[in-house]
This record gives sequence, C-alpha cells and structure tokens, in this order.
Amino acid sequence: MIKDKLKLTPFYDATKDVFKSMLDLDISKLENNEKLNSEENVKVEIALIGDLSGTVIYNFPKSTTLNIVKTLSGMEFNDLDDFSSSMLGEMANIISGNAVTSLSEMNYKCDIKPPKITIGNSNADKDGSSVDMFLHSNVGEMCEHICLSQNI
Amino acid sequence: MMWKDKYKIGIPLVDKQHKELFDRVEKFVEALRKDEEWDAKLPEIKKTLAFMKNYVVEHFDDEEVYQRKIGYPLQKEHHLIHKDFTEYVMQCAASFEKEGYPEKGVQQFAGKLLAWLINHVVATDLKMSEFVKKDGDL
Ligand SMILES: [Fe+2]
Ligand SMILES: [Fe+2]
Repeated sequence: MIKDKLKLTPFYDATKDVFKSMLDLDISKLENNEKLNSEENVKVEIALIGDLSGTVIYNFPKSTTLNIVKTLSGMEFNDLDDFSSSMLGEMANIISGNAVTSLSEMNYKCDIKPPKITIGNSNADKDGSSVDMFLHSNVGEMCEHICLSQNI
Repeated sequence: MMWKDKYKIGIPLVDKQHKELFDRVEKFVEALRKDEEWDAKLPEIKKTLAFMKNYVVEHFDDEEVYQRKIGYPLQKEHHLIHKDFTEYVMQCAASFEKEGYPEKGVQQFAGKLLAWLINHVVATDLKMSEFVKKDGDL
C-alpha cells in the first residue's frame, strides 16, 4: 500500500492548484475533522488503474459543497442536489486528472475512471491501508481518502 | 452573475466570447432552477440549451482559428480537449432529446458543464495568453 508522501503529494498539490485557480482560495492540511463524520456530504469516488491502482474518495461536507457551488455559480443553493454534486464531481475529476499527470512525470503511469458521485451521510471507512488527508480552506473542510497500491 | 472579471485571460476577443458563453450558461442554469414544475420549464430549458450549445461550438472554433493564427504550439492538444468536450455536450443533448429531458440527467450535465468550463478557462485557455505575452506577438 502506498503511504509514502511522494505519491500522496501529487493529490495535495493538485487540490491546492485547482482551489487556487478555480476558487482563488488557499488550502491547508488539518489533523482531524469531526464535521465529516456527521454532516450530509457529497462523496466522489475515482478509481485509478495502471502502475498505481485503487481509489481516491473525495468527501465534501454539505456546507463546503454549497459554498463552492455558490462561489462558482454566483447562485444561492440550500440543498445538495444533482447540479451541486455534479459540479463537485467534476472538480474532483479535474484534481485527479492533474494528480495523475504529476504521477506520470514521476514515472507512474496511471489513468482515472469516471467519477462515481453519491450524496449521503456515510464516509469512507478508515482502515490500515488508506491515508486520509483532511483539508481546510475558506469554503470549509474536505477530506481525501487515498487507497492506492503499487503494481510495479 | 456567473461571469467574473478574474476569468479574463487578457486576449480581448477571447475574453469577450468567454463572457458571452458564461452568460448563456447562466441563462440555461437559471431556466433549470426556476421555481416551477420540471415539465413547465422544459420549453425554456430546451431553448437555452440549444442557444448555449451552439455557442460552445462557435467559440471553440474561433479560439482554434486564433491559435493557428498566432502559431500556438499547444494547438493540437487544445483542439483535442475541445473535441472531447464537444462530443460530450452533443451526446448529452442527443440523449436528452431521446429521453425527454430527464431532470436528473440535465441537472448533472449543467453542474459538470459549469465546473469544466471554469477550469478550462482559468487553466487551459490561460496557457494560450501566457504564450502570447511571452511571444509578444498579438
Ligand atoms: Fe479553449
Ligand atoms: Fe475558451
């Protein structure tokens, strides 16, 4: 299982870049996040195949999602719906695509599958084989649950 | 307003078209979000979708003509990105037509479209203006 920083950094860097360019926001890492365990959220699961394989699950709590959607659309949203979850799905897709580009520059050739997007209360289960990255920005918290293994 | 001045990349012709594109996407999203029954909104949704869709194609074409004119080195890659997205938009439009514009599918399409467009402008199109500035040849 991939735990070393080298392979996780591309996901952090890609998130940082996309938040900066799309939302004009800086992100920082958090130690833990309580909100993510209780609040309704948008979960975006993206599978990786290739030299590294597994899944990356992006978890955007309701408040974070609605803040992002408001910033990007200029419109007020009160609930998680197909429009807002799809926007976040595409953002996670863009982040993952950029991360995979960096990984390929590090000689790990991988591809991503289309995002699976769900609205609900569940979170990715924490187990020994995954790494959770809790992130914070002015739109709120989010989590990336990274579970990848190396095939070379 | 959906369009933001910070999306400007500094090429007046392209910026003008981007603003028009965002305005059309905004009209489409507004039609989707009107406080009415889905079926009552359908005529407006169809109209704004067609209006927006045509402009996506027109804008991509114009942008590519401009890139050829300035000898943009990433023109091929940029064309492929436009081509993929145009296909996605056309496929969605065709399936909406066939399936009677299902609410879930149309809402999902609109959300993805907006996020894709913003990222395309602030990341991919921006590279074009970085080239122009570096090259100093407008
Ligand atoms: Fe473009
Ligand atoms: Fe463009």
